[in-house]
Amino acid sequence: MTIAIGLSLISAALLVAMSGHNPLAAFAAMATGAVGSPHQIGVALNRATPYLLAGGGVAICFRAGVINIGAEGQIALGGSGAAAVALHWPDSASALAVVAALLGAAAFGALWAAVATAIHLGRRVHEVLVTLLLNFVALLLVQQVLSGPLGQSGAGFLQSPAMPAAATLWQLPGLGCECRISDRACRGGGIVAGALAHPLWLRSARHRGVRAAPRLTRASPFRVSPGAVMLLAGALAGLAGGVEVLGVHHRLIEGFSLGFGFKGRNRRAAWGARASRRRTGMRSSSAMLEAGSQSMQRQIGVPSALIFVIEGVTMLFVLAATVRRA
Amino acid sequence: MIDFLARRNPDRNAPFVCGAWRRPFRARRGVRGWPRGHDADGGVFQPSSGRGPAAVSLVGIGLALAGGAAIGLVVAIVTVRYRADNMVTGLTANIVAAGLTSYLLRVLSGAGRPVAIHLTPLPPWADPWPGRPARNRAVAVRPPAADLSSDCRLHRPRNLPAPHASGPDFARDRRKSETVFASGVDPMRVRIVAVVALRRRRGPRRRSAIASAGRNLYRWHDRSRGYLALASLIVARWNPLGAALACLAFGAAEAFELRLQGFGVPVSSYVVQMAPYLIALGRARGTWPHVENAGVHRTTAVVGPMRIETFEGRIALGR
Repeated sequence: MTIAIGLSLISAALLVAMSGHNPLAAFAAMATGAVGSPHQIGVALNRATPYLLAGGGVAICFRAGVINIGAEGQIALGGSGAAAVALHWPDSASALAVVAALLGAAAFGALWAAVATAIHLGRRVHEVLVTLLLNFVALLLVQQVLSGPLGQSGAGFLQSPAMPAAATLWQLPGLGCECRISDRACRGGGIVAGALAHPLWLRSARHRGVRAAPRLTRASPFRVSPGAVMLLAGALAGLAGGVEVLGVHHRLIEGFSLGFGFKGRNRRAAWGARASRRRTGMRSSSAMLEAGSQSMQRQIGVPSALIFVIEGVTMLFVLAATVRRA
Repeated sequence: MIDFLARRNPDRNAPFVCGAWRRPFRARRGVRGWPRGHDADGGVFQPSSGRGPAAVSLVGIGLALAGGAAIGLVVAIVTVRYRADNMVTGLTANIVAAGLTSYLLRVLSGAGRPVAIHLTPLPPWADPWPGRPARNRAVAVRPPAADLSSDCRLHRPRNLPAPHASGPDFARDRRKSETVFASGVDPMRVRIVAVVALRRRRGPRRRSAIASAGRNLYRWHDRSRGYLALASLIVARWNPLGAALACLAFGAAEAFELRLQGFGVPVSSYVVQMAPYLIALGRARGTWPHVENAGVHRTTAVVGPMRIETFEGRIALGR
């Protein structure tokens, strides 16, 4: 792992030097931007939330032997569900609106996973194909909904009206107090996601055992179907979409889910080769780097897109090193 | 109407065709053709194709080929040499390529400035038939023409030895792999060449996508055409010629979607965009049951070799 990160940093340093900047200064700005203040830590947690939730769901599927790459669509549908419930909740001032909206997000995500599962099991289509193709259908469905019932008339973009204040997620004390953009940062989703993901991950080890070893199946009281695992993963991804809509954007926006699903799944897959206790931390670290890259771009002028190169190269090195050792 | 489709459709379907035809070829060599979307691989090196000597179309195509092959080489090494999972590696390469594209766009186009991106527009491709819609026809014809040699290989007899380690028919694949081993061919070398050769084809696909869309490289220029190419292959049941026809149909749909509302047809353009994926899902029936009949099959996995087993009528993946 250390070698993989080191090699990827060297690759990134070469790219930074190629653009005429000092790599050390760029990395220092990135680190400062990631963990330099409580606000930055809150931003990183905020960014980590969808990765943790969606990645946790995908992890459970992987451990259970089901390849689910439909997190992107499930996040999109989850966000739509959260927006639909929050905008149509009868008592918009009630604190229950948040809970209902999050439940709606999880339900919509699970529903989309159920569609994939039904096609997979009913028509005997490989789950990779189903979940992958349904991603694009989901993204287009969200656009269709935003241009129709959930759309804000007169807006220049495909977006919904703003969520009611009671339906937005709460702010973590101590992290958001100094925020210049306090209404967009430091929401509690990161902590919730971390609290959810790790026990579910440990639990999924049993699922994997059930499916991977027929002998264990006969001895174990647990009977886990692929459908149940997919529903759980869909609910988690939908929850990620709901947190993103209710805690970050405060409205449903076209394309808000782009990248979360694929990155969450790939990170999980790459980090999945490592010890399980490190995975949540790894995903959080990636989010911190993304938060820090914005600071690097502002201070040094190195494009923040560099962070995706670092992440991707690290994952490639981790994949190569781990499988070779295995 | 017909004239509109005739002019616009080639713009749309050329990238699809380039993307789609690579997959059966790869699959016959034991590499799953996992989709690459957005501005992946070949696009990495294309910022340079708008400058200097790349103003010549052939040089631009050459750079595009080299870009696709370079990313393909990385994927080939990780998947074949280190036995990492094809899907995860391919999609991780997407992240690298997308980030690298975005980074290089900014570095090359404005000394690192992260805002507006303006490259010199690519020159229009020469018109092989004067008097006809120049750019469209050129874009439609050249990338497939460049793939003629590979196309011949696509139609090679199926009984020739090919190290087909994974795919829908595992039993047949296993027999083929054994044949290859027995013939003394190095499967690893063949697979690496297959990956590199077929990733190479993504270069012209990007180039044609750029040339058809304002002749400039911009973020998300790919617009998930890789996945539409996959959908066309599924619709055609992995037949290259059928995939080309499906690409024509999808290209027509894409060209038609914005005009649809102008004609007063009460169908949303989003529904039209969904259609290829829904049709593919409808046609994808039966890509899974082969696994059940295969007994035990070894394939590469996320962490290490996985075993696909069946018990109680269900599939189990384990290590």
